[in-house]
Amino acid sequence: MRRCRKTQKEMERYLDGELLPEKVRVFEAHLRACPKCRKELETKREQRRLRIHGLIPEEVPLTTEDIIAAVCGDVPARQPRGEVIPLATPPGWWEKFRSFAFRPAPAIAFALCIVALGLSLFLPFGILKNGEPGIVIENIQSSSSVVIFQSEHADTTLIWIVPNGEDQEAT
Amino acid sequence: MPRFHTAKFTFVFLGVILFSFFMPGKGKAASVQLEWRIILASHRKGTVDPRLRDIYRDLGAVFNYNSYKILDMNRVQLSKNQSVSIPLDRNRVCVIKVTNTTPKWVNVQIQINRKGRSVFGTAARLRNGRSLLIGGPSTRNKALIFSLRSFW
Ligand SMILES: [Zn+2]
Repeated sequence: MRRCRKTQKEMERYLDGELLPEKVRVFEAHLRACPKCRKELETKREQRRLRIHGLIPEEVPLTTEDIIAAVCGDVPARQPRGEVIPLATPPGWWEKFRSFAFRPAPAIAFALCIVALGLSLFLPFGILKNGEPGIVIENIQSSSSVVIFQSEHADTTLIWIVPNGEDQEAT
Repeated sequence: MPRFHTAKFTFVFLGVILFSFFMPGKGKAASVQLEWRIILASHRKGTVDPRLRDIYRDLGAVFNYNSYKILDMNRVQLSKNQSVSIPLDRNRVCVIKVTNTTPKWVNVQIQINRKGRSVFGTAARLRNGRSLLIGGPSTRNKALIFSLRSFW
């Protein structure tokens, strides 16, 4: 989602306290709704803290495992000095669903489902499975002979009435 | 968080649409729309009515008529057990009755009466949009073809 990319771009400036107040509001609102960005920010903050402690050199990307190893291993337990983002409310079902559904893959899948459903329900000529006839003649009573033609795809069925006269051909 | 309201609304709206898709009985047409066409096929040089696009190829596969003209065409909304009478020519009348509707099919009974006497009758099941044609007999290089389609 675009908002995520923007948020992640703004993270460094946010941690440096350089983000404008109105941008901070939008930024934090997104964080409340987006666990992914929240986690990302936590990682960045953790990286900074470790850097301050001199545990990792600058510019080395860290995985969460690295951080956990670093924290659980050599670093003496210490109260984190960095600021803590106040989470006014824990994310509700809607925020969780929203952050899930607005990621590209689920969103596209969802959209495709809707399109498929729409097509199957609104196409005037539904797609027939192979061999399924479009028309079934259940019975015929006729004073004349009839010939029945069915088109290749069984879209059209023709009942042709043949006159019972001298010019009638056997049917 | 007012920013989320549009998205929230969209999801609720989509939910309602989806629900209506899966509502039991959806597609179980309470009434169906029947379209009939009375077609004059002849060997005379002529054209094919563009409104016959859907069946022209099938007609061409069976007949060698040159011209297909629509003499009359109409649509009517019918519920189960309702019927409609359509005059075919001076002597013949076609009576169509809807005998049943299911989500997949519509059952119709077609009766052709000539001077009050039944000369032809059939019961058929049609799928949405498929054409049932009843034609003949041909007289003097001409033939009348009756076409029936249902929509719901
Ligand atoms: Zn995000």
